[in-house]
Amino acid sequence: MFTHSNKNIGFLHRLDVRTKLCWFIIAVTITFLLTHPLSGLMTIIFLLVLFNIANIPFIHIRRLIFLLLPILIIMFVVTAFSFSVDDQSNTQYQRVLFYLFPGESSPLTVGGILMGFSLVFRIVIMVMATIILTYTTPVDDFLHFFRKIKVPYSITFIITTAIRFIPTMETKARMVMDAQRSRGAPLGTGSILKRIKSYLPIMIPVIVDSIRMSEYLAVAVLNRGFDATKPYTILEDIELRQKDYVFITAGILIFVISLFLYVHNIGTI
Amino acid sequence: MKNNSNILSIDQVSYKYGNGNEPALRELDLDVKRGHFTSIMGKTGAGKTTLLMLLNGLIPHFFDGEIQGRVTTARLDTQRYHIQTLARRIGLVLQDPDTQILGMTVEKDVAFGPSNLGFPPEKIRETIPRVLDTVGLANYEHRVPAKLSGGEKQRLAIAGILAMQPLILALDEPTSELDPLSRRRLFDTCYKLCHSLGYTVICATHDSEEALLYSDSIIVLENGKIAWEGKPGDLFSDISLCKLSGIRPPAIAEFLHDLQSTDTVSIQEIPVTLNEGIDALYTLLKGRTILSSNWNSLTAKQSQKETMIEVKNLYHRYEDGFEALHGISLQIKAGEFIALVGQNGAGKSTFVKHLNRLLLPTEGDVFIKGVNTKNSDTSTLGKTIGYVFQNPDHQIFSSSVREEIAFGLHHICGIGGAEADDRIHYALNFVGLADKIDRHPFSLGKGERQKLAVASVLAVEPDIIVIDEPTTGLDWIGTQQMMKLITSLHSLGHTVIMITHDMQLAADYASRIIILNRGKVAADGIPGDVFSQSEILEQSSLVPPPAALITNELRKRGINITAVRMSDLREIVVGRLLHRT
Repeated sequence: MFTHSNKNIGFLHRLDVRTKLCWFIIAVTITFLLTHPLSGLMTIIFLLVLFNIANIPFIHIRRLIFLLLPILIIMFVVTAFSFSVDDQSNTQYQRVLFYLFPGESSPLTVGGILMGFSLVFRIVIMVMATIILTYTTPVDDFLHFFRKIKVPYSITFIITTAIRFIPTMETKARMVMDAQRSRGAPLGTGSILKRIKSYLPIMIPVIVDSIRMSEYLAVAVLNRGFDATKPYTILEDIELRQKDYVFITAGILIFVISLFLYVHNIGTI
Repeated sequence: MKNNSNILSIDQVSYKYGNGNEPALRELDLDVKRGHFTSIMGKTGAGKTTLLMLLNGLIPHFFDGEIQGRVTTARLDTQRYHIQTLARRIGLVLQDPDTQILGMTVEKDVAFGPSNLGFPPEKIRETIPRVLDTVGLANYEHRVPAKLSGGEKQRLAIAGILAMQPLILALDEPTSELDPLSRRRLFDTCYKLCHSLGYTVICATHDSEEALLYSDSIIVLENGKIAWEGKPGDLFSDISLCKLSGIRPPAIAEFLHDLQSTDTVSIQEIPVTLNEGIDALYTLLKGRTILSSNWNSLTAKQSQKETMIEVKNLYHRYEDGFEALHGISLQIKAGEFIALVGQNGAGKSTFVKHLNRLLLPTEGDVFIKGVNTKNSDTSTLGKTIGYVFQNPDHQIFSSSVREEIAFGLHHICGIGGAEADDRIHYALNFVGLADKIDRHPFSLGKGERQKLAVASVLAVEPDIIVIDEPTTGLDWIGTQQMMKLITSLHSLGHTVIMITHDMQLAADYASRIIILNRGKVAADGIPGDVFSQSEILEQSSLVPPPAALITNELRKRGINITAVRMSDLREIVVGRLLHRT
């Protein structure tokens, strides 16, 4: 997901990573405060607008939601039928539409349906907010952020290197796969045990190669003077600008309003 | 300091790796002059890499072991200073560029070294475009390293080192993964660094032609010791010394040496560069009668044989939209020995992957013995097509040589038990690894692992064997052994398709050359025809094999002979010289 961030630089891309993280946290917190599906729906519409602003292809979200669909459906059904009739404040939510089983067990209530929607929307919101955050933020910004919160250099370096080597490892794995398929390796067929075993001819060369690469990498890092001086030179830094302050203030304002609504039981179930 | 002009000095150094039985270096003495370009040559395992790692302190600080003697790099005793401190004086570029690039963008990668050394930000920002320009990567700042070509990656690795402003640049076989054009460019860069910018360059390499053209002096290592030291010309005119040290002699020098030993001519001093050689040859041949040459006697007599491969209008487009093949059509008959050549990225690998259905055509068809690959699968096709990949380590996973070969036999042919044993023994005998049958594959040397990969394909007894760059990373002895092995596979009746960057090997061994350029067949035919089309070669960024280069030049001077193999050239020249008028 991190790899998207280099393309088409837009408005959201130019916001500071801390501003975006702040909004992310606020958006997620609000879904817990204002549980009514209508508030969730409003948040989703707002995020869709951001999607449009950031120029993120909808395919990203469609693919993820599609993968999550079975879980979302199960979640919805289970919540809708298991919503407890007793602890609801608003009587209209207690209306029972029908019972799943005879003997008045597992009732489908209006409140249950709403709660089901609320949970589903919460997941969708988290997915969307994560996509927006990662899509509009270069990895470096996250690394700068880690540095600001005093995560040690060696740890952020490991993270960068790991991300940097994803394409390299993919290429290696593909080459190994080609080589073993050419030797008739049956990949992913038969019983589960056989299937797992069939991937050994791929896993072993890839792992052996990674171990070898890690030694070369250690040598290369030393060759480049890693850890030679403290502090090392910081070439770029993240900086909160005026628009960041505006956005953070707006975010906090929205949060305070939500808190107010929550206290007065508006927009909740 | 014995001498101020020496920037590197090694004094009686012996070194044994922590896990080694034999010393890797033995009582080595070496001085390198400031501003010189020194090449280190010698067989695989002679100690070239060890020597370079000694210079920047990786030995003994990173690789522990027993060390004696003293190494002084730019006035620093390497045993007393950290690798990171030495990095300000000496930069080491390794063989595999992939493990040396650490930044997410070109710019960030170049900045990594100087940032670690604590250079001020303005200085780093000013350095980045300058070093990128020096290595020929101007305006690459925001490119993603994974998308660069092998040659570009290697030059980026050099830029990353240069940005730290060392005095000495050490390179360990930097061109082993590169095609001839990128290799030449890389050496050009190093030459410029040395002679225009004042760096001291020390480079381990197997490339004789480049070592000859670019270096001021050559050190030959043998078994951890310096076996020879001197000027490139002196090394390469001594053919027996080259052969003894596992160094490939320049084709022209070897040719003139052989000519001299047939007693047909006497040459005072054997010229080593192509131009000098051509001059010498011209003097010898001037004014002699022309004898008709029959060098292309092996013209298409294959045509009656069975068609093994038929490719019809093959297109391949990768998922990212890159069109790697644009309409390839060709036929390959049983018993042919094909060299598939072309620059990196020309589509060679993409093409051969269609033969055993590792890839399916985006458009067009591939037929193997009449069967469309669309109606078959990779393991069924494996009976007909064996594929030896470039890096044997991408397939080795068993704990013994025997099991490694049994894997393919079991999965492709469904053979086990006594018959499998027979075939395993046969294949190992053929490649000369019979005594290694119970060894762990990773305990074998690189050349042996490559032979193991050949053996595991051979055991399946496929009609067609595809070999991808079989000589990459091998020294001259390994290269010759591998080519001998491939030739004997061919004489057993296997159809051979060899991908190579080495035009001399292609000309000397193949019966047919196919040049790919940007996904199209640029030329296809017998070596004599293909290699005489200099325009197509140039468009495909290929340099003709030495014999073709020599005869092309001689023809320009009025001596009308044509040859693409050195052996053909010898026949013609000897014939000429014997029939004097």
